[in-house]
Amino acid sequence: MCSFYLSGTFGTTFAETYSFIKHIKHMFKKILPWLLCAVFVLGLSACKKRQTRADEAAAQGVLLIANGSEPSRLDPHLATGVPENRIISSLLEGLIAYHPTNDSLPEPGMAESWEPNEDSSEWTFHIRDARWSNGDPVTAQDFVYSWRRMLTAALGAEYAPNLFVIKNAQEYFEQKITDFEQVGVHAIDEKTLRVTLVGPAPYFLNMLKHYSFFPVNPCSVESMGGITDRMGEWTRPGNFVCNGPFVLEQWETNKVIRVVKNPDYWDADKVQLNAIEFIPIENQSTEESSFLAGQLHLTTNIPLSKIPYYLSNRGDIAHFEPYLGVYFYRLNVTKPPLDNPKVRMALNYVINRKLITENVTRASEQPTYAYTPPGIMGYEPPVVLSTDADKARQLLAEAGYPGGEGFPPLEILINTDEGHRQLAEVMQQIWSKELGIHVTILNQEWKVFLESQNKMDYDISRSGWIGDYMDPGTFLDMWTTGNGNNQTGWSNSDYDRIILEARMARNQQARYEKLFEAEQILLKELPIVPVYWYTTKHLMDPRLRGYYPKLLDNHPYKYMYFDLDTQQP
Amino acid sequence: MFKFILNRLLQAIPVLFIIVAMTFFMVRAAPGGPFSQERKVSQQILEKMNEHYGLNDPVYVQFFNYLKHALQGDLGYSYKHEGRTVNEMIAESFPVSLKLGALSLLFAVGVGIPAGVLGAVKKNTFWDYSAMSVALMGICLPTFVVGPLISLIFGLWLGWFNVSGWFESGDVVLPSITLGLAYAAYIARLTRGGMLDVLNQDYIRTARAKGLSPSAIVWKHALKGGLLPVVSFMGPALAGLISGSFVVETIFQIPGLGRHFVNAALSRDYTMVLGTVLFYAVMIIIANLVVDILQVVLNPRLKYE
Amino acid sequence: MVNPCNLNVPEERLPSLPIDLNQVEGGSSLWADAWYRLRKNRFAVISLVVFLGITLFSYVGPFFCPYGFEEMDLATRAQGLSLAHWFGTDGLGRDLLARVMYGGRISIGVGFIATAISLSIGVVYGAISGYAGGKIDSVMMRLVDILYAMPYAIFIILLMVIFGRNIVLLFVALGAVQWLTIARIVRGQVLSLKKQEFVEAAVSLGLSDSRIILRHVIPNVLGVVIVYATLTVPSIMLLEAFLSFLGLGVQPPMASWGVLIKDGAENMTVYPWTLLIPSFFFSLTLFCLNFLGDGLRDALDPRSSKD
Repeated sequence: MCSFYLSGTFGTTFAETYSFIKHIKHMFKKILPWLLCAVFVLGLSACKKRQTRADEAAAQGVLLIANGSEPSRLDPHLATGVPENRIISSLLEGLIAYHPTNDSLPEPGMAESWEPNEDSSEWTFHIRDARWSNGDPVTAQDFVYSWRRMLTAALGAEYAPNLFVIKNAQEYFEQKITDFEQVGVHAIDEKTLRVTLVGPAPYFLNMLKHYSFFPVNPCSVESMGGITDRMGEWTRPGNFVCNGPFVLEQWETNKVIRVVKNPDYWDADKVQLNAIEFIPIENQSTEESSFLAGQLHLTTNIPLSKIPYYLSNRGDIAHFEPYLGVYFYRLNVTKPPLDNPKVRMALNYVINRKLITENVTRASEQPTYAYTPPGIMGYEPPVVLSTDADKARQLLAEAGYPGGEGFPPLEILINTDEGHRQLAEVMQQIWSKELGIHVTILNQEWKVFLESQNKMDYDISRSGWIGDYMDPGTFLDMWTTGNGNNQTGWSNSDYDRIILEARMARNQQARYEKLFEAEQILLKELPIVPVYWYTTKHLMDPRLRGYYPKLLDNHPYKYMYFDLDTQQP
Repeated sequence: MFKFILNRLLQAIPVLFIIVAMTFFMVRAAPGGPFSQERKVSQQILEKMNEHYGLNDPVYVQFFNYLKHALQGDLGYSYKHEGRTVNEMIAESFPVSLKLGALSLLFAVGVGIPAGVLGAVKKNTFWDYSAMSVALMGICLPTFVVGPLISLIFGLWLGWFNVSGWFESGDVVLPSITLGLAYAAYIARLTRGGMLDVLNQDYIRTARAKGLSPSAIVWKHALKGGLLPVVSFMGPALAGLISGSFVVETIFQIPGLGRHFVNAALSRDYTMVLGTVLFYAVMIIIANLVVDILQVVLNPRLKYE
Repeated sequence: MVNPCNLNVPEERLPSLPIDLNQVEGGSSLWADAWYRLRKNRFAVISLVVFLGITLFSYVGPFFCPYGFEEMDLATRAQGLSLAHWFGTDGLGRDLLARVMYGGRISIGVGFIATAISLSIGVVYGAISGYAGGKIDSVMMRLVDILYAMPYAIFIILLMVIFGRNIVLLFVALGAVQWLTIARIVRGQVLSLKKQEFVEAAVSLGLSDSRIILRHVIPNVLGVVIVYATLTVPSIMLLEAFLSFLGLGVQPPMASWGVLIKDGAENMTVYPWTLLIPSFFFSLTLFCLNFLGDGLRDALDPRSSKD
């Protein structure tokens, strides 16, 4: 482009240019037939659809799935991330499995059947006739071993607190008792497991779907490193003993993880895929173009700027589904002026959340009217938040800053990311325009950001929270005084008391009523600015079937298959 | 020359020690640790995790432990990729980056040097300006623009290559062009500059006066001297090329060493940061040594020093 | 700066001086002479004018632009080029013209200051190292090796932790790596220059080392240095985008050209103008600098003849 531009300015006279054009004309006549041939061939090859990797794989029943960043580990007791979860859930199965369509329902997994006692504080599970991929039967003792492993402090399992719902589990973990016999998990016989909980827990079945409750094969763990070993030699291909629908075949860092169908799986007849390849792709544009070029069947995301296009034009491949997560800003309530609830309310009420979800995030996210995302069966969050700029200005005036006068400057802390940045830029505009206050943005690298948030070295900080299982408790417990995930300095004794009462509630309804009450307090005090409830964004090959929208974005592979007759777009 | 090389290798020992020491303390001083994450881990669990990696010991104890193991060639376990040793990770990813880097270098030198020579010999002509304009485009278009662009054109629209991945032999083409392009541009510019300096030198004038053919003057006599700045530039560039490029490897989804460099630093994977830095330092030292030898070869008036 | 043209000292016969009839006749200095030759290079002059135009556009333009760089209008989101928005708007409905102008302020300012800093350090360091040779050279070059191998991201993060975010730090961070390659290149050149007759002559005349380095050695490496400098400016402008990623540098909603290009690259298939327009200004600046650099190189080349 530029060389043409330059050559034109280079002292070429008109005569020279003219002869040059004549020369080109002559050349063109010579090569014209060849050019036509080339165009023809190119046209032909464009008409004939190239057999892509995705086509080949679909024909062989191999699912090619993008998987974000490289998983750090595949040990279910140490894993913490979403990419890890996608792989582990293909390899191992817990007592309760994920239902194909509804995350609130329990699906029998390793447990064939179960019964709770009357207040749901003691559960008995009957384990089905299933085998590990090394031929061992899956037994109740395997679960006792696995949960003992989770609760062994020396292992350092991050999700160990999930198991504290079990009686004496926390005491064992904190080494206040040393005899695991006292912990509420017992193998009555080889196929019967009895679990005693600290109190009534109607949501226990939903918790059991989480990988922190998954079993591991005791023999293989013991023979490679033992119960407290973190190095996971046993999770390498060839060593990993599975009880799920697939077994681990190949693991190449940053390249691919391949799992193949497990013939020993109890429900192997139902599994239709022959293999799954998890391909770690961090860059969203790369992920998208790989999908479009036919190298993937399923992506984890859609690049921000492409969302409107896919949403309105490509309903055949683009899927936007509600996700059990909330995007919000934390407000540091220990610092004036944010220690004043009226200021915090003003910051909340001035925001038109609908405007943001429609113009900035644009992936059909739902604007928040509460904190806990809707969709948990039986729990409807209170409708509190609304847009009322006048009320916000009035609140700000009541707090002593009429028209933003005298209001100290605030800083929005974000971690580096295009989406976070855009949203912060919009929030900055709204707050400064509508309330007349001065707001700046500071972006930090991820770990620095975490450190700042943790040390409460911020005014306003961008946050998000994804539920681990279908229960409002996973959203509301964190705001109790001194909770490690609170990180706002907010503390309310009524809130703490109600959350505690909810834990003791004898049935689901009573519990949800308490949690509702707690959420109302949270939304009145507002140490946070909820913005929107997440959606998941995927591009999916139209031939892939058995994939349903799920609030937890957890899609069991055993129901997936390819319908090769589907018309290709 | 043997003495020179031996001497340089001896110098490498304190250099490596300083690099390891500085990196070790720097990375530990950076905010956030390998296990910090959005969902806060309780203090008790964090302590247990630290215990596994000896992170509860005083820093100087950790340092000497690290040195002790490193001297035996054991760079420890990665924190991010739990259960993988740093040695294993480097051994896995270095060949990938080496292959990519070597091909990029070939492309960069193959395009850059002829373009630079052309520019210098035909100074201030159409040829000069077009060669330099193309070279400039290579500099103006950063890898994060070129990469997606050529993968869009040749991968997605024309379908000649895969858009990403490292599975087939053709997968190397687009990334090595992307990576090579920027270097080609630098090399072309530096070659042209160096050649112009040399072409005005007395010995070239003498050669011309003696009636040697222009091509012999350019390729046999001038190029040798004209490449000096290129060679100096190539030292660190070479080390950078073969130890991988974060941007290119991320865009094209290549399992190379370059991604570990940046990702290890960002995830505070202490051992991995140290391992990759140490590895890179060795590459730098070797590359600069080779460059210094080449400088003598290109300019026989120099001695090894 | 340096006035190498004092006809009373014996250096006058040394080839580091421009052997040019104009100079001898008019008795003009190296710099005046260079300026004269530069003016005669049509291309360099055009480049200079265009470059000054871009600078003016960036620094003065915002005063005439009706939009601010942060002003958003979600109703006119991602619009192409129009009369209201000459360069269109970005994904949040901000005027791209305003953003490019403000971005230019940052990029040109940062690019030049950081390049100047790293050049001065690199040239002096490299020249001393190459000229001194021996043990001093070894130690100085090993120090360069050490700095090369530093983990850059961690280094930047630490700098911010220790010194907080400020503009001086940005230049330190940018200059810290760029001078290394310049130092190595200059050292390589000096090593070979040192063996040339004119330096040996200067040494035999008993001139002081600093005088030889400043008056005879550095002027002779200027050509390569200028070429490398024109390459350093763009890499610094792009490096600034990486520093923004780490949290150093300009904070949103302000954006430099590097950041604008990086964002544009992510949106290139949807809003191509958000990539093309900042890239155009970035490229144009580099082209100008480059041709200006070539012109300067020729003008300063002590040996260049009028053939």
